Amino acid sequence: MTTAAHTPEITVEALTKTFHTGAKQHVKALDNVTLSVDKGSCLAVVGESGSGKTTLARIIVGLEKPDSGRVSVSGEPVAARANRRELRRRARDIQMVFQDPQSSLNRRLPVRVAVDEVLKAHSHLSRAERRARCIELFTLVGLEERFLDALPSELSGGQKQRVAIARALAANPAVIVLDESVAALDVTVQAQILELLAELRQSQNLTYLFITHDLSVVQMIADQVVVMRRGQIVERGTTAEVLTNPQHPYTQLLLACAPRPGWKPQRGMIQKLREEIAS
Amino acid sequence: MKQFAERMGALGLIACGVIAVVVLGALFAPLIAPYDPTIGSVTQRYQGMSFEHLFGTDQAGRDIFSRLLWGARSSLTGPLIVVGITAVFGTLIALTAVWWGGIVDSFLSRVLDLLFAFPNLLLAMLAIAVFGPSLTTAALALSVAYIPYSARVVRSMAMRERNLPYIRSPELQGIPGIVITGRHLLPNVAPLIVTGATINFGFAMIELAALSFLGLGVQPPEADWGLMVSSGQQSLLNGYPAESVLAGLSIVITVAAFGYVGERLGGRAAAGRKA
Amino acid sequence: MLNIDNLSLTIGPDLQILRDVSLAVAAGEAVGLVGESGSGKSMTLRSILQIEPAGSEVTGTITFDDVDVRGLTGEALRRMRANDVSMIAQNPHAVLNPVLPVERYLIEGMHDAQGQPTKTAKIRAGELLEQVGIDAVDRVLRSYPHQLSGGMLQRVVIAGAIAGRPRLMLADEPTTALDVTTQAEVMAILDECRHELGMAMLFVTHDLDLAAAVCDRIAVMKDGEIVEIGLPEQLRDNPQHPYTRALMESRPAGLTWTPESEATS
Repeated sequence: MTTAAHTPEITVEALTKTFHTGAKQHVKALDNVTLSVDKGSCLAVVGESGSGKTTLARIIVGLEKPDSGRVSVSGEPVAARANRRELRRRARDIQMVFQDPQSSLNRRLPVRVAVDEVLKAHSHLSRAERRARCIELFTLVGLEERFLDALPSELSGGQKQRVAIARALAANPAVIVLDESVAALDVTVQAQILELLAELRQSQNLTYLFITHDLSVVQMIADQVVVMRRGQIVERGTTAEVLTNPQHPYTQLLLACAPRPGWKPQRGMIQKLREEIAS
Repeated sequence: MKQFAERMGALGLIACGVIAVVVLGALFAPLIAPYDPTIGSVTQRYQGMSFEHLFGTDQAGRDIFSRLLWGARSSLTGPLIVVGITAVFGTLIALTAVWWGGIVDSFLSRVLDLLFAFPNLLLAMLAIAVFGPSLTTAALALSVAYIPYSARVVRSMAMRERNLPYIRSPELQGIPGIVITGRHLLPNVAPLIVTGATINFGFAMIELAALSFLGLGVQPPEADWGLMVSSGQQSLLNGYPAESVLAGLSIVITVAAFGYVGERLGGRAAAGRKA
Repeated sequence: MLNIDNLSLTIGPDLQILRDVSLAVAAGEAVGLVGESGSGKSMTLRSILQIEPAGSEVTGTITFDDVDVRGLTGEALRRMRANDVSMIAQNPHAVLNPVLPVERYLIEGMHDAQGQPTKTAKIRAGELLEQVGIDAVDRVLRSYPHQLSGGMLQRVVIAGAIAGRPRLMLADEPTTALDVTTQAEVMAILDECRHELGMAMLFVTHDLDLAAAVCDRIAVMKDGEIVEIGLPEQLRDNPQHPYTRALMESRPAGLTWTPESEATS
């Protein structure tokens, strides 16, 4: 990892996206956002609802089209127009793990199908080979073979999210975009999934873009952080820098509001920081 | 099976029983019916209930029980055609609109709105005026009128499902829309389609009976419940209510049974969505 | 004041949700009920107001001021819900009628439930909103729920909940649907109100740190049972039950920055 530490895997340049919410109303979800993620590292994008962090993720994977700006992966630009062939090409580089494990899998089919269809889309493996690969992937994410033919309803939330991770890995991607991927899980399960993700990053040589609102999650998984507010990046740096020495008052506010041992919510301080942000 | 019984409840099981009896009666009418439903004799008019004629005879001397059994055939096939066509085309339109979204969705929605604006029976009568009265014409015309209902319901549920990760994820792999729709979207909205079809079945039955009653659907001397209500009118005035009342009751009970089962199924569809 | 004794709850033939839950809340005391999804924490809370799901079988006793609340029916139950015990739920959007302005929600509670005249209720509604830290009182009173943010709405719900000066507040994950900064603000307000009114609180949450910040004692629940009860510091420094330890360890204490540490450096 040390040798490749500074080769950017994802670069995002001047990305802008405006949503029209009414006749004359619009929201700038992304306002000239530029960032890069080094190969093999994990960048956390932190912000609250409406910060634009999810829009950023959706544009990078191709679910959304930017108004302007460029995204490139492994040095190759990604077409803004996402037709099917383009999506398929992009999927071999970038995969996504969604937030809600409940709706992540088709409730009427065995969970294996989710992984199998990705293998089918991106490889020429035979049915038996795909099944063998499914077993490998399940083992990789800490699921036993017997879960292959289980229905989603037979799995816990954490197990479903493991299947979703296996599905992402099935395409052999270089990058995984994790959109609040542990937010819907219980804390003890969160810790296990984060641990799994950290292991996989090492063993599979992955690069992560981790979208989250939760600073303690950031601290557990990310090397670098960008803090977003209202479509703009207000602060960026290494995780240690940003979490121990925040410069922007908004980052300070987020930190001041994050529950932790010994913490108390303080209204006066929140208001003071809010005023600072406004000015 | 046990789950099904639990979902249906006592009343639901009775309703299922009613439907089963009607369907079996229709299927085996040639075997069960003691008389030819279309042939009667003037000497036998207006007979009361007896072992010979279970429900008596009508003004043409035809056995009412036999006519009810044979009438179940047309009274069930009509709605079956309507529901079948409606479910297939409604779903097709809904899923096309949902998958492509944008302009396709807007266009299809406008077309459906337009169809909605026509009263069902009016549309049916229009078609009958052009193509002549028959069960097929009436059923086809009603199918067209019902498609928007079915399409709207399916569209609204499919729209919600469309944005869930289990649909989005395969889409991101570049898997063709038709495959994703068939493998993931359709099976998950299917319970809703079945429920809708069951409830529509009852509505279609009433409206087809109404058309037959008006002489625009099934033509005499064929047996049909709606037609029987109509042809029994004269007997009703003469003091022999059996034909109209029994045919009317058959319609009401069957429609109620379908409606109830449909609603129960609806509950199951909703539960399936949550799980 | 509130005593839960050996509360068990089963749904259907074999789904046991609660197993012998015993917990006491003294007057003015805040108790946290912490657990993960499915631990039974919300169901415990709902049993107190008799709003558990239909078909549940409940055994054990719950007393409020030595009155068996599970035995209350009709008017007595309504009076308890209106005057002594308030509840705040997770999603404020589900609580407020979307087609009525916020003012109506507050007046309704005071007028219909507590029998205050509409006029005084109107004035009181404004005061209550001030109490929960809302500046633009008139604007908020005239607003419809969809025009307000989740945080603002939850404050309105809190205002409604404290209107009758209840002696016990039941809070069911009141900030889970909110952003972190809004959560901190709403929790601070809830905490202030509680102290001002000398209200007791039973606070259900999945967040141990959040509970520790506003509660005097914390009960940790798992699989329908309370596995440990203690002071927040006790649980943090010396957790007895392995599950409590697991909970503590899944959130490493690495976030140390505070505005104070900034000021001193």
